[in-house]
Amino acid sequence: MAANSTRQKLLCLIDDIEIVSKELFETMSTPKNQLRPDGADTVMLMELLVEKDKEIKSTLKIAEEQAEIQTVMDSLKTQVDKRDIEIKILQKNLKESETILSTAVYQAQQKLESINQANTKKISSEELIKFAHRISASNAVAAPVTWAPGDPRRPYPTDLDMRQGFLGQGTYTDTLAVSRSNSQISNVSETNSTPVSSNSLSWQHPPEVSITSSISHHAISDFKGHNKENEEIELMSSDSSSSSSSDE
Amino acid sequence: MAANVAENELNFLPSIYEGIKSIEKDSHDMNQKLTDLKSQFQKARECVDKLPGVQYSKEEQLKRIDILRKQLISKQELLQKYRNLTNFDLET
Repeated sequence: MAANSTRQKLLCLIDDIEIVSKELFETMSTPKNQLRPDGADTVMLMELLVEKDKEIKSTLKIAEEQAEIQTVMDSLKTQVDKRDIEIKILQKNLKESETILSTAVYQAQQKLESINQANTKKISSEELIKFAHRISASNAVAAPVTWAPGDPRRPYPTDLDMRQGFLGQGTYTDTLAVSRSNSQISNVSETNSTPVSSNSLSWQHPPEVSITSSISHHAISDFKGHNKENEEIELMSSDSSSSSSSDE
Repeated sequence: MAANVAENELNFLPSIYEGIKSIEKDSHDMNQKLTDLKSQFQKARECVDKLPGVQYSKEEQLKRIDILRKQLISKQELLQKYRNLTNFDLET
């Protein structure tokens, strides 16, 4: 509280009036012959009281004005607080948008970088198409649309491809054996001018062939024609038809 | 409203006059009058404590209201500035 505030002034005035009134009552209650010669005069005290009362009245007027000012101040304060809140919200929103924009700028820069990289290492579309042709010309990627059994074009890696591949050069004995047997099968199918039906079986797995009951013995002999053992089997099977039924 | 109440509470002269009268008459209710006056002083002090806006002197209060007005104007300007920020100046 300020030392010279209106409240302090009023309280001081009240104190003054209390003291003066006490003094007045004391002077009035003491008999006149006992009064001190240097004592305060009652008239003087009364005048002082009236003066103080006037002072109080004028100070109260000021207080009234101050109360009005206070109401204006209060409304101003609420307005200022409202603005403060609005400013805070706006600042928060601005900060948020700043972070969003900064991430967007960062991403855009990254994209620009990749665009620049692409521009420096230009590859013409023709070259790309040529490369694609080179890959798909040997039908290594997908079978030709018109492919049918007996078609020499293959929708799978050829023996040559396999040998060149990682598996063909691998250290595994198993894989080597597989590749060898594959080569035999492919050799057979390539060298023999076999009918369509037998050729269709040529890329099937050998055990599957032996299981299939509907296959003719002739087809089997064609399939394993070059092997000596197979030749013997062929002779045996051709000798008696019962042996084939026993196989079943 | 509060000022009117305070004016009544702080009007001591009639009570003091009553006191003087009772002293002059040397009546029995003198003590009672004096206690009443004392309690009136106490009430007046409490009333002054409750008066709004008297915690500052008038000059100080005017200074404060001036500061508040300036604050409000500056905050208003800041808000306006923030609101205008949404229009990006693409030419710069």
